[in-house]
Amino acid sequence: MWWKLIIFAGMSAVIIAAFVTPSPMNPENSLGPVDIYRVFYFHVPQAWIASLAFIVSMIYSIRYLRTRDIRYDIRAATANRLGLIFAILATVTGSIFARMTWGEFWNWTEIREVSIFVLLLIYGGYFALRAAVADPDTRANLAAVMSIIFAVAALFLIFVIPRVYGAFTQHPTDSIIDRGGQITMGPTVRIIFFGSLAVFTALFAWIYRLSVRVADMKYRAETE
Amino acid sequence: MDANYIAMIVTLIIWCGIFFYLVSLDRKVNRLEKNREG
Repeated sequence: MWWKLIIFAGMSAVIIAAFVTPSPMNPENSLGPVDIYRVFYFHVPQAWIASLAFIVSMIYSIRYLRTRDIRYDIRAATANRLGLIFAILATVTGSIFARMTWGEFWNWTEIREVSIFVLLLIYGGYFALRAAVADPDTRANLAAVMSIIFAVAALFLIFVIPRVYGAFTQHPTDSIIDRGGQITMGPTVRIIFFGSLAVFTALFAWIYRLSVRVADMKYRAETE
Repeated sequence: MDANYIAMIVTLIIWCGIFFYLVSLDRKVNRLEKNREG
């Protein structure tokens, strides 16, 4: 129970610090209201958790293909489900930020928004495929292959495409690390941001473990 | 009241809701697992 209390206290501290301390953006460089930049403490960790979940799914998919143990398929599907939820949260918070700074919730010429849209579509396709195939072994085989390919595509869409097509994005690119590899944040922002990353990661681990236990129970109930 | 404080309170309320929901779900899953083993 103690680690749950640490997560509770940690996330509460991050929320309080995010709103009580000065905005992470210098008012002189701010596009729109400076306070909207506080979303940085939640939006980036959400995108990080989505990436982490897709990597976890890829690892379990590889393990499934090596062992054909259905428990790994359950773990991979659970990770993808959580990854999709966190990707949607990152999209919503990013869209609110876009409205307040660039004037529109969505812009089809903004490469970061288009790439996250493609990512949501392909993971929507993953769950459509899982729902469409009745045979558990065929479903697990197809889903494992898709999950591996999609995880690579997700990392490409999140980290590579927006940087390659930098001319088509207004999204801040040097808000964490600059091109020289140096951390660009001030000391207070750095503490809150890395604290938020740690707490979101712990929260993901808890939700993931809980979801896997529920999925395992459901599978046992269906097969026994 | 400052808009930042209102946003902070709303976010804290949502977080408390999510946390207590997860705790209750955790307890429920523990109970179900124990019932299955028993």
